[in-house]
Amino acid sequence: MSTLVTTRRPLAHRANLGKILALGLLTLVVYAMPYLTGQYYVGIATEILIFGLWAVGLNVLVGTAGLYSLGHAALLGISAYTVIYCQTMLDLSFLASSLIGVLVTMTVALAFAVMAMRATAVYFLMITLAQGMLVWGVAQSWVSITDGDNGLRGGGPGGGLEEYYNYYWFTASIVLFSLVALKIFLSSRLGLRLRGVRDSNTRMASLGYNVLWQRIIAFMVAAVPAAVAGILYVGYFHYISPTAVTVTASVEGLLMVILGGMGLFLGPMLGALLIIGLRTELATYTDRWPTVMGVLLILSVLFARQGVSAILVDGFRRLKRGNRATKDGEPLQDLDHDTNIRAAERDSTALVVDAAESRQ
Amino acid sequence: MGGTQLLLTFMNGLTLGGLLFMVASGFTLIFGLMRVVNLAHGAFYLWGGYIGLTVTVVTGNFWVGLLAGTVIVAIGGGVAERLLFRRVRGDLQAEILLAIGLSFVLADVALAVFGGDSLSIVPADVLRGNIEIFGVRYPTVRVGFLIIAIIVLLVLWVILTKTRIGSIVRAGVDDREMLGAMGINVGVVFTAMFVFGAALAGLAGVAGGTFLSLYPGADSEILLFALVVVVVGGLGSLWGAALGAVLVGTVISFGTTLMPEFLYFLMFGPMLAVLIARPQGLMGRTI
Repeated sequence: MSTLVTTRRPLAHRANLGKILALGLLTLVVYAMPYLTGQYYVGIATEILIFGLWAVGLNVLVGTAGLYSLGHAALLGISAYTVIYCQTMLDLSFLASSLIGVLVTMTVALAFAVMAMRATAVYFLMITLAQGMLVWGVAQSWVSITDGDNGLRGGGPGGGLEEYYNYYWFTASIVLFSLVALKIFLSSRLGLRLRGVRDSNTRMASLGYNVLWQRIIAFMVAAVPAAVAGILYVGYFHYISPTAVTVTASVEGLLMVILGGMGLFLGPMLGALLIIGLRTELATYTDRWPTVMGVLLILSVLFARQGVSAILVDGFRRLKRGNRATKDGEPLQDLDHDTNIRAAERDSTALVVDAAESRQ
Repeated sequence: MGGTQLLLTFMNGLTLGGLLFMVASGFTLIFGLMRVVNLAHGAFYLWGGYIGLTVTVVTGNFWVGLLAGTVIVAIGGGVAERLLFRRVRGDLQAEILLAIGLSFVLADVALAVFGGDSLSIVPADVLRGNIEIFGVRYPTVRVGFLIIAIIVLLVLWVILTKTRIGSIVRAGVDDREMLGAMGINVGVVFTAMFVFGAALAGLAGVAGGTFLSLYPGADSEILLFALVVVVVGGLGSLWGAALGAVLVGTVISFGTTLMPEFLYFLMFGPMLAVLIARPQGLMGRTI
């Protein structure tokens, strides 16, 4: 194990430099979008950023904690409904409404988390499905607050931010900030504990951690990006209806996570790009989007469980190592194996560190 | 609410419960044996209804339609098991995601083929009109399918408890590996169970087509009701499904009459309560 780590270290440093450069370039491209293209595509990019953030949050549950949620659209919806309601009915400012939106979403998320935390695998899916349906049912039938099928209109930041490019930059900045914060959290000891619970909750329990508590934390952490995305959703669409909180919407989020790749932090963002891009492009040719989505889901489950990002990363690594590998005739390691070893290294180190600290 | 209306509402609940039982029993048996949460079950139901409708219209015979809806969906279920679910056997999440994908495709293709309008099936002459129950006139077709549902329950119960096939299935529910080790071809048993569960969904679809109606979204509606039924009753339990179906049917019936605004609270509230307090369901065992 120790030899593995030492031989890897210089490589890891070089990879990090490349990663930072790539991310910097990506950020630059994201910010330059309004200069590169017009209102139509900037609008789509705004949508991708919003749903990408939401999906990255969902991946905290799916990828990090191993819990598949079928009700994640409900959280985004609750946030959006609250913001529009506060702005239009209670005459509060966008900022105040947004704060209330986050507060309400987090409160509901806590209640949902407590309900769902004892369940794993199949039961977790079903409980979150029921929660999603409950929120949808409420959105549909609590007409005095939600106006039923008509949905709520209005809301948004107002002023200069209503210009499409300004709102795009605003969204990009908020999303970037949220992603950095989330990444820092996931790399922290708390984030590693979540992964520990996913991989072996008996070991975590025997190390003295409260597994249920870690799951509740995962649920709450996943809810924050959903709440933020809900606020950004209002600024972009100025409208929310029960359609936004259907099971289909939640499944679309899961598809973003799976198709994009749950193994990488930004995988779901790539998934959002693929799904929303594809949906928008196909909308002009066909009404059969659900069929396309279903087929994509089936194909990615059967043939690309690690998602497109893993395929890309794998291809990139093959390219980089290609010459050396073919010369030496050594077989290429597959990505799964590789990342698993790394994850295992990190996890076991973290656990040892944590265990040592908790003993003191 | 007068006595007549009370009786009518109760009968509506009971007959809806019969329909829900037919959907939920297939769902719960598939789960009990293979641990597959078949979220495409609602789409099977809808396709059963649409096929039944088409064949009834073409042949002019309701019973042929009923048979076609049941058999064709059963075959479809078998094909889905062989082509899709078999490839990811044992991976719970993958199975569920495949089922979701399948349900999207099936529902969307149904929308493309049969359109967005609400359609219904005209049943055979015997089932048309009303009969008198306790002095109240009530649609024959609902009572007819309630009787069919009760027959299905009894047949399933006899098969499961009294026959060799039943003992194989029950053994599979308890310990699949051991069943395989005893020389039973588990793969065949699994496919057969999927075919059988899908057949029940198809049958229910034709029944639903006569007294509810068929429309885009009916699939997810019935699936969610069935989910509530099996979660409340206990996943994998036949009598749990029957009990759950009657409970949920009654709740839906009284809920839509008395407080339609809070129907979803009425349904999912108890379901969440059961999941939290007794995750294995009222009549289920710990899994």
